[in-house]
Amino acid sequence: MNNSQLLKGTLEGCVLLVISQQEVYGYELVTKLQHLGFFDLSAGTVYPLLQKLERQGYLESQLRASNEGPKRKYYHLTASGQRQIQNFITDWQQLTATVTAVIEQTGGSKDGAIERKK
Amino acid sequence: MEPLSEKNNQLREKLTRENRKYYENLLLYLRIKGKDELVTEAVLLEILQDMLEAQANGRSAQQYFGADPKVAADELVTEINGAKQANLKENLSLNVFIFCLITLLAFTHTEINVIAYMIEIVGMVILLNITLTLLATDAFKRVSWRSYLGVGVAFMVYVGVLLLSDYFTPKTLIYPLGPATLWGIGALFVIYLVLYFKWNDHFSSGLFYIGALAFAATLVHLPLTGNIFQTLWGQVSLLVMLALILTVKAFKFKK
Repeated sequence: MNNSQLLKGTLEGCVLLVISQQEVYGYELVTKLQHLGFFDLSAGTVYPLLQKLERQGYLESQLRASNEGPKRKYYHLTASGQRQIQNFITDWQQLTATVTAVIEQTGGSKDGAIERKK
Repeated sequence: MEPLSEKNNQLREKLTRENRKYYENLLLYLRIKGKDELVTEAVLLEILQDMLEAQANGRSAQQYFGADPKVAADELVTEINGAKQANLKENLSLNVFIFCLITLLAFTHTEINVIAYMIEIVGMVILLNITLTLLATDAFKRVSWRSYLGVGVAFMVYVGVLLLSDYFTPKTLIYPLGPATLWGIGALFVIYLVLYFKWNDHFSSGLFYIGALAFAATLVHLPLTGNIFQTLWGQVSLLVMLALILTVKAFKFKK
């Protein structure tokens, strides 16, 4: 299975989590996500997501003065976004618990090996 | 306040040649497909600023934004167009509206053939649609000869429609137009145009259309040029010129 497909499903929650720590602009966010482990992440994936999250009311943006040219757009989390983070964490914990149980019951292990039942 | 597009034009100069090419493909595509001009320009400026920072940190536009910008662009278009219902048709309608205004005011018609006029308007809408669709198709590659040919053929068909519409349409809905009516309607339209562009923060762009109107009207009414442009061929030439200007204006997204 393609790892990027798995990561894409969780990117939205991770973006909200990163922004919950600190107000960021686009380039900052992409860089932080890459440092956190989304090594193959491209900015082209992030901008539509930022638009979507802002449209949904989980993020708000503000223009701030920049030393280099026009004002820059910074994103911060809204109260609604904070609730969405809670939902994401709950869903993720349930999902990981379920998947872990399936792996264990089908003979899988942490190193990816599968024990076939005789 | 400086329009976002002008800020974009200034900042773009700082990109390297390769990065600029990459970015301008993205810009063209979003400007054509994005239905909300203000949101589209804001997103483009945001991406440009970040791309410049990536460039300063040794990353190319492709490395930063991704190897397949069209996928990202399509997702952005989906989000931009979901944000507001103002759409491309509004811009096309505006072009048609301006064309109607220009023809109405520019010519010393004593009467108007409504059916022929409606056909000319539909022809203009189709021409602009074809032009913009072909531009969008070629957004991430070099404009193909097929696209140029397509626009050229569409334009020639449109000129044919202009020339023939008066002859082949039934003479049933023809109404007289006095000078007072013409100038009264024209004044209302000009006021509408000025307000439209001010509301949409594109007053400098609007000056182009108002300028085209004033130019056409002047050509028809000046003693020196009036004799030429009040004949049938003179009127058709002016119409063709205006249609060409409006079609070329659609390519303004390249700039």
